[in-house]
Order: sequence, then C-alpha cells, then structure tokens
Amino acid sequence: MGNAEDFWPPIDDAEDPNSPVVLLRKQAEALSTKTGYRLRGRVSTAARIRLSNEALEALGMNPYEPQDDVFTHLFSIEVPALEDYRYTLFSISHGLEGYPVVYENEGGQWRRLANREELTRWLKETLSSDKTKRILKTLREQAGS
Amino acid sequence: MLNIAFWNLGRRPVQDLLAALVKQHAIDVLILAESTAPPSTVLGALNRERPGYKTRPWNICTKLSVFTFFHSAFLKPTAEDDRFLICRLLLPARLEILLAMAHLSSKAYSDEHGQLAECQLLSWQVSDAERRAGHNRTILVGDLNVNPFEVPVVGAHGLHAVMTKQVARRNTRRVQDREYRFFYNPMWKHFGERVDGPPGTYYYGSSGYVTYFWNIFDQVLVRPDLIPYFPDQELRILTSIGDFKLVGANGQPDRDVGPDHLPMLFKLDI
Repeated sequence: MGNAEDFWPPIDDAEDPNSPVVLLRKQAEALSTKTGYRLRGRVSTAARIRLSNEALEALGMNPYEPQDDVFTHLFSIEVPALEDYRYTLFSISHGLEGYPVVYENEGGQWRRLANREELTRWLKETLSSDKTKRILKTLREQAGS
Repeated sequence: MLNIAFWNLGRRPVQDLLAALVKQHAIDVLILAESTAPPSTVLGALNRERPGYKTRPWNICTKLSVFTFFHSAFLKPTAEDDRFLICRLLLPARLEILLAMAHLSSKAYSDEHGQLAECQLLSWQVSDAERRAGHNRTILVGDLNVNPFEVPVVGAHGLHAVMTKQVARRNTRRVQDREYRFFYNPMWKHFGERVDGPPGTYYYGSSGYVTYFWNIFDQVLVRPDLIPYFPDQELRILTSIGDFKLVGANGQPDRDVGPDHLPMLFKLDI
C-alpha cells in the first residue's frame, strides 16, 4: 500500500477567496470582531434543500430534473450571552459551481446574483440595511456589555 | 397540565375574543400569528380578564407573538427568523421541552416546492435546536400553510410528520442513506364530518378543479419523545369561545365575529 500510485489530480487545500461561503464567513468574522464577540456571525450549510421552481430557474437549473447538488448557506447572528441564541438573517443557495447564487427578497421573489461582484454588492446592501441595523440594535442590547 | 393555544388572527383586532379565550381555557401559552395589535394592547386585554400574562421583553420575529401566564424568562428563545421561533421551555420542576412556532408562507406567494424548501429549512432549524438542547422533546405549532397530507409536511425531507403514533414511535426512518426523525401529526383525525368539531381550521373554496374547501393549515406536530405527555383527546379546534360563536350557520368561520382561521387548543402533561 505504501507504494500505491496516486491517481488523484493536484488538490489545492487553500479556500477559494471568491466562493460564496468564504465571502459569508468573512462577514461573519467581521461581525464577531467588530462587536468584541458579544455577537457572533455564523454560517451553516444545509445540503439537498429542494428549492422552488422559480429559485431553480434563477440558478439556471431544470426544475424537473433531480436536484441533489444545491447548497444552502444560512447566515445567523449568535448571542453568547443568551446561551447561543441565534437569529437567521438570510440564506443563499447555489449549485456545485458556486455561482450564480440565489436569494429570496422581502417580497418572496427569487433573485439571481451572477458572480462575486454582484454577491458582494448585495451583501453590502443587506448587512447595512435598516432592517439589519434594527436587528443588531436589539441583539446588542440583549448581549450586554 | 400546560394549556397552549394557537390562533392566526388574520390581522383582525379581536382582543375581546382573546381575553375570553384565555379566561375560559386558563391558557398558559398563547401563540398568535398575524396579530397586528401592539403587544401592550393584547396584554392589556388578557390581563383584564385573567391577570398575570407577560410577553417577551424583546422581539424580532414579526410573524408571531407569544404571551405566557408564567414569567417570560422560562420561555427562552434559542433560534428564530422572520417566520419561526424556537424556544426552550424551562418551567421549574417540569420536563424541559422545545416549543417551536411557525407561520410559513401562504400558497398565494409560494409554489409547492417553495413551501417544501421552507419546511426543509424549518426542519433543519428544529434539528439544530434539538442537537444544542441535547434532547428531542419538541412540539411544533403554527400555521404551516400546507395541509397534513401534503409533501412539505409528510415528506422525510420536509417535516416528516405522520398520521399515527405507532409509526412515529419508530423515531426515525432511513431514506437514501439519510436518517430522518419523525413527528406525530394528530391533526389527521380532525378532518371532515365529526361529532365534536369542525371539518378543519380554515375554509377556502376556490373556483379551480381541485379545492378541499376545509383545510388544516394550523397544526401541532409532536416528536415521539413527547407523545406520552400529549393527550390526544385534549387537542381541539374551537368553534366558540364563551358567548362568541366563531362559525356561522353554514359551519364556516364567521368573519363578522372573528378571523378566517379557527383557534386550536391543546395540553401538555409535563
């Protein structure tokens, strides 16, 4: 076994800094650092969530074929002072390729983000929105000093 | 016994009905969906009839309101978003349970796959809360906007809620190399013509080829570990509260009196 030939392609262990989940994790870390860990950003991944036909079409997938390759990332804010209570701020989904990404807007419509630039722009809008500010204010008050 | 009531108010200001409900049934936990009155207004009405109600000092979930007859600190939120709230219920000298509450998207705004996606994510959140709590004693209550027989509720990849305790007591089922935990759904026996209750919780007759007229979107789902503490016969869909008749002569919810959903009441013997 020790001399077995390795048929695997070269594998780069480094994370792709442009992948959706890495971009989310960076924002999760930024929240934790910015609040002195009174609030913690958290990204969880749920695989095999069967999205709506509208969402799959926005992803460029055929809704009438089996969909085993969809990843849904949930971005939550945890409050350690409240025994790790967590509020799910939003979720995004994508296929094996990473992009495009889809999200459901406030009106229940699915929207497509084609690439890193569009996801980054949407993240900036979402994390600095009035709704997010209101939620952060409430959670910071509960988190104490 | 812990008395729990759920009611989708359909944005109707029905404080008098709520006050009569908590008084008549000695409600310990009142869960409301689509309640537009300020919590202080609701609290005022409840406490006028039965003093002692409290609510969360802070709230983010906009779709649900919760009022308790015990100190709100005993109901600890552990996870939420706009459409669900999961709390640990930690009453002194009682069994700890998880109380999950939800008001999911209407069929008017979501196709069947969208509703399945919502139920999948809710199921994921419930499992995550159970893992963190270290037990599976969960009860899920709310307006799921899907009937008990539809895929988002029945499917293993959805809420996996089945119609008999015997099946649910198997705890889990394996599908495609994945283990899925059951819920018991006691709502099945509340469909159709019965002597002691209405045919559903919500009436809607569309002009399409298929319409069920009566639906049970409002449901309570029970994990197998809580079945011994859930007396089936105490689950009721109410058609009247005190002197208020919630249904008209045709048996359907009377919108001149109250919301288009009927309230649901159940007990937990913890």
